[in-house]
Amino acid sequence: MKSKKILKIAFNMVKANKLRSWLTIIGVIIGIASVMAIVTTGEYFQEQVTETLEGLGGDTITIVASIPFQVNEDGEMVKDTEVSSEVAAETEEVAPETEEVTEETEEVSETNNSDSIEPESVTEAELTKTDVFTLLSIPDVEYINVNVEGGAELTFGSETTSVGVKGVDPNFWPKLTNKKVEQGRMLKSGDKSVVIISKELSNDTFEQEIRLNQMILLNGRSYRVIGILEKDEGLLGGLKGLFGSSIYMPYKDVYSLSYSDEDMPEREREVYDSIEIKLDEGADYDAALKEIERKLRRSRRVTEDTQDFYINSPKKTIESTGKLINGLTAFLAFIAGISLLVGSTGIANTMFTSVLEKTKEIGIMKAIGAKNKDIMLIFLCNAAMISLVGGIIGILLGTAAVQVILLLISIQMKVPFEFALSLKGTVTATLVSIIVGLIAGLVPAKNAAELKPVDALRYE
Amino acid sequence: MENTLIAFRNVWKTYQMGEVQVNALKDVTVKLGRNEFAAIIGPSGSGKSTMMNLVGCLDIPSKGEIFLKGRNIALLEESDLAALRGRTIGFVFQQYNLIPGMTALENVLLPLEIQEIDDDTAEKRAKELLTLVGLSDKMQNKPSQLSGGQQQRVSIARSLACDPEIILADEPTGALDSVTGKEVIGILYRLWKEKEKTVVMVTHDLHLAGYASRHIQLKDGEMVRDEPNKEQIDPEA
Ligand SMILES: Nc1ncnc2c1ncn2[C@@H]1O[C@H](COP(=O)(O)OP(=O)(O)OP(=O)(O)O)[C@@H](O)[C@H]1O
Ligand SMILES: [Mg+2]
Repeated sequence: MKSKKILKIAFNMVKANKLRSWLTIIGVIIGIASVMAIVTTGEYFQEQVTETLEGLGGDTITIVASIPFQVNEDGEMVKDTEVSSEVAAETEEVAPETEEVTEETEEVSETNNSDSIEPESVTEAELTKTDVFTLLSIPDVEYINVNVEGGAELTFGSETTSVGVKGVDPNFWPKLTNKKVEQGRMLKSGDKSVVIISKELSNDTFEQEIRLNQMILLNGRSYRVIGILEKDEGLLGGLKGLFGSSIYMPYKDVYSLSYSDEDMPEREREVYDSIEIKLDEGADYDAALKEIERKLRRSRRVTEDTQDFYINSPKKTIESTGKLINGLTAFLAFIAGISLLVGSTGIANTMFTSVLEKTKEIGIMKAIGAKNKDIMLIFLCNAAMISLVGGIIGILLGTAAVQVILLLISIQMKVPFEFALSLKGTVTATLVSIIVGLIAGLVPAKNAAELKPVDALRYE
Repeated sequence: MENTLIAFRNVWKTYQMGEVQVNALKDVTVKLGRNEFAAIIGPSGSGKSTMMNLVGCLDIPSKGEIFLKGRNIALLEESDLAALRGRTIGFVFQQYNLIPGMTALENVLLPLEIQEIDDDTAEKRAKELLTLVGLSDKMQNKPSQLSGGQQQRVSIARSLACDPEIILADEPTGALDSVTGKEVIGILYRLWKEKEKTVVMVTHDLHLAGYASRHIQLKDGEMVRDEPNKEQIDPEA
């Protein structure tokens, strides 16, 4: 039988049972649309979060000094200095020439034991020039920027507010950051008493806008605004603002920001709050991370347990967040898949009913010469039509649903609406709808085809 | 032997009804040649329909062999048998067995479509046949919009679509009143007489059997009589 005729007969069968066909189609639509909506929304979030996290640091590795907390046998949290003192005690036996140093450490640890809450009594881990040199010896490291964080009273005109100030290396920060100036220029080497401010600080903080080349007062000292940064875009742009600082200046200037609080001692020079590293373009990221950790441990004389610094790599965060979102999407898609499964059961059900209902007609068709193959194809086409119509409407509806969700998100988050359609989601949904339809139609179609003509004819 | 269309050789048909075996057909050997008008007669349950189904290759024998145009149907592929059946045999059923969703014309077109006859030829032929059975004005009617006699005439037109050599009719008049029944027999008679078809008809009605040229009588699955009808009557007379 020609395929045109088979299609015609199958189509007539679908048409002859409009209500039942549509009910079946609705089942498929819901399944397909929800799979589509979930996969697309998941992909959208993944993209947005990745973009945002990349915006926070991209592939820059950040190292901060931290004294690790350890849980001792009693379950109490103790500062790790205790452990290091034990290490030191061991060192004493091995290397007697370091006696002096070790004794000092022991003294410290004693005070520490007696009053471990007092932070001044702890030798705080610091990042210094030594660490920078250590890092520079790693071939994969391209740029290093150091950060010194501070706070100050900002006065502009007659208004005053307190702000966070970030000191950066004017030579390397511009190369390593993904922040861009909207007006003015980035910092460069030799800059002194100049700042770059965020768009938010420039626009929203004071009655009067802070303009390029105007002077601002930080703790009474005046600085020139040489650049204003671009505003962060995207879904989670606001979030980025939370982590970003509003004032950037050469880090050396941060040390000399005199505090309004006279009791605070001046900051120690060449001690950094964090070090940022940008690797060479072609560097093996994971290997480099390991190398950084190994070199730093050696130069700082710490082990894995006593490690007093922390390496933060946004790439890892992006990866793990990506995995999390992926997992969540997969889970939701799985649930949506169940509704697709229910939809396909509907197809199978409809097909079985059709076959029962058409048994006599199958017998007639066989008596007048139809082959098993013809009967099989008629029922398969019937199932395929239902799933195809369901699939197409489902994809359209799913796409529309995604846009509504994204529109709501964009209104909520005050970001511009973007059309999004996941190719993967669409292809998956289409394939699934076809496969599901065929599988659901296969068994009933096979049953129909293999009916013996006499039995089929006798059926009432 | 060339004249033989269908041959039964020691054909048995046994139905298993739980523990009991029902021999619906017992050791039947018979030949049906070209241009015969055979009536299969016998009481209810004697195996007439069983025999028709085997003649029409809708079923296979439990024992014995059946040859359709010299080919053992047990050795044919399903698709080949279907094609052979479609081209060689036309069925007329007691309950007409038209496809309810299709118009009279579409019902007659269906066997032609199954045989992949091109659309123009098929349509021309279907219309000719419907005109032949006197339904040129009812082509677009669905079966539900036709009387029993008209439906049976559509069914005869359909059985003729692929110009088969054999027409099989199982109680074609069973659901019709005697006047309409006689009309239908008249059509079958002319097909035998004028178109030289082989017509095999099952009937209870001995009067209707009188139009046939050969009588095959069954009793409890056995063929008890097979002889030419010496007093064949012409329905037109
Ligand atoms: N599918 C079947 N399963 C079991 N037994 C069957 C089946 N078909 C027919 N029979 C039995 O075979 C025997 C012959 O049946 P068949 O239908 O051939 O009779 P028939 O001569 O056509 O009768 P009628 O004149 O009433 O149509 C009967 O005893 C019947 O019960
Ligand atoms: Mg019968």
